[in-house]
Amino acid sequence: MMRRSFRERFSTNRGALAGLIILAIVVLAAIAAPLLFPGDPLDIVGRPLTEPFEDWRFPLGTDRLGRDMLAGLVHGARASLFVGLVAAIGAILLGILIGAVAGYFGGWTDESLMRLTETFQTVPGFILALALIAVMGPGVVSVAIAIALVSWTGPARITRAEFLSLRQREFVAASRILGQGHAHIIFREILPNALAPIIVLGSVIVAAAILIESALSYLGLSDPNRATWGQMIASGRAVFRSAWYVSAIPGFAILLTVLAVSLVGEGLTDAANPRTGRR
Amino acid sequence: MSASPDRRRGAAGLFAGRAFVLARRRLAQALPVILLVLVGNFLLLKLAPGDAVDAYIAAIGGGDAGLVAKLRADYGLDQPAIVQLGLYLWKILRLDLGQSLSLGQPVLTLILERLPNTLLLMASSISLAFGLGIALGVAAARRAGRPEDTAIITLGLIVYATPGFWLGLMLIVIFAVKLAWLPVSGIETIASTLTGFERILDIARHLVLPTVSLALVYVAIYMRLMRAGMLEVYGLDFVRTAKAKGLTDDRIAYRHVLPNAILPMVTMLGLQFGTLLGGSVVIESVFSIPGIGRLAYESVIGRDLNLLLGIVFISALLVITVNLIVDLLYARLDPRIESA
Repeated sequence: MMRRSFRERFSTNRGALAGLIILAIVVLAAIAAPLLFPGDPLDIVGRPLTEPFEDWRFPLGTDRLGRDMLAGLVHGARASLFVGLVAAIGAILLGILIGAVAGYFGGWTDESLMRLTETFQTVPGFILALALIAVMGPGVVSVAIAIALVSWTGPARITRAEFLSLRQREFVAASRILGQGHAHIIFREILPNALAPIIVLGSVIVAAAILIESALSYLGLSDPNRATWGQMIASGRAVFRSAWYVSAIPGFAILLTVLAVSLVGEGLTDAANPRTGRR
Repeated sequence: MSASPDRRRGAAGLFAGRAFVLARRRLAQALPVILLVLVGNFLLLKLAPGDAVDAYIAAIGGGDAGLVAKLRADYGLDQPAIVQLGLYLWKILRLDLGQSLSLGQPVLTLILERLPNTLLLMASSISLAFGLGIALGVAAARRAGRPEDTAIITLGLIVYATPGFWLGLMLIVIFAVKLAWLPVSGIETIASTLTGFERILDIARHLVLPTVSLALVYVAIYMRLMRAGMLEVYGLDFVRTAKAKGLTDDRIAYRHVLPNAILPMVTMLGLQFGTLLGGSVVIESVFSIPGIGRLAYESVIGRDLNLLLGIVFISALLVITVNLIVDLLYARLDPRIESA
């Protein structure tokens, strides 16, 4: 009953549905990239700066080196989505772990973990990400790790708050009396009950991770041998007086993807809290 | 329940009484955070491939083993890690952030030189985000559920999804290249002889596009928060009383609801400052503004970890300072907040 009405509430939300459709297209394009555009998207395949719709072989035109924009866009979806998702999942898992331990044990454990959380919130995330990449060296993996390490504080705070309110409940006391270990109580008893708000926050984290990834790869700190949306925007900078579409198109791709993630997140939030819904 | 006396003493009251207690408490809380930032910096220095001496030897083009060993001993790099940490903290305590290898100047000098440009960009962006965000939020809340409200919300979602650096590039294409209304980059006209008011105007013109690019995401955030806050206050009993008294809609919105909804926004201002400062890295790079954001980017490219960690430390101090100011402001605006 509850499950059905949740799905109903989500599917009557036009924005959420639109987001879901856009997201499905992007994900499919990312998965099918090697089939749709076999070969390296960084290969030169045509006359440089062919404008969009000018040549049917390159529907979105070519960049200043003659690389197919559409192929770059589709392959870029792989990198951007992959890094965004991996970083977001890493951040959420790390946040859950730290927040759960802090909220469950309380006392000085909580105190010191919260000081750590505050520290990560005090240092501007993007600057810390730069420092982490400087230490690890540029690349896709460092970018994903750096984003995860600057994004876990939100999930940690929410998880801690949930654990603080749940740990006094009777079902927790019951399993303690049954002699269950701390790990069992944290992950099997409390966590499932604390998960809803964390998942809702998840869409915000994914959206932010995709945006940070695009900025980092725009600055050239990701893998230079891989097509990413940020790197495509950067490569358009050199010609944007004459051919602004080279930077414009991948930017639209980022915008649409992040918008889709946000819309789906909104839909989840509204469906989960029918009363506060559209406020 | 009466307003505390130091509220009436004007600006001097800010540093007296409970505000002073609050400031002291906040500073005491900030100390462990500052210490942790420094320990983190030290860890990153240790984790980086090669130490400061390696980097220095590479920068001067090589040196023999004797020189390397002497330098290591001089900097205490032959000591155990915990002693090195102590030396590092002692150095920072004397405000010695070391030298920048790529730019050949003291790190602190470089940062202080670039800081005003960044602070200028921060101040203009926060003003725009706060002002426009609140105006749009109030407008949306007063028309909740109507098409105008939906339009503002949708616009907010689109703006929130727009990468700031890309928006900056597109704004440059439209307003600087095609229309030629505003300058393409920089903080002021290079080698100009402008002085006084004309120079201020010149800098302001240079700041328009970077400010919009940096602030627009926060306009969307503040708009949403303000709208939600207004709707929450609209549901409270005293608003119903005001309506029952026969007050006009405008008066209820601006005199009764707005002042109550605006307070939590002040706290958000402090919380968002760090992200805003991080965002300045890429915006300053797009617009070639010589601030600490672009300095951070240049230090990554120049493999200048010491400079980068100096920026990490100073930006953390900035965030703490801004949050302290916001807390004091909040305590002043809302007499219900005690120092507890």
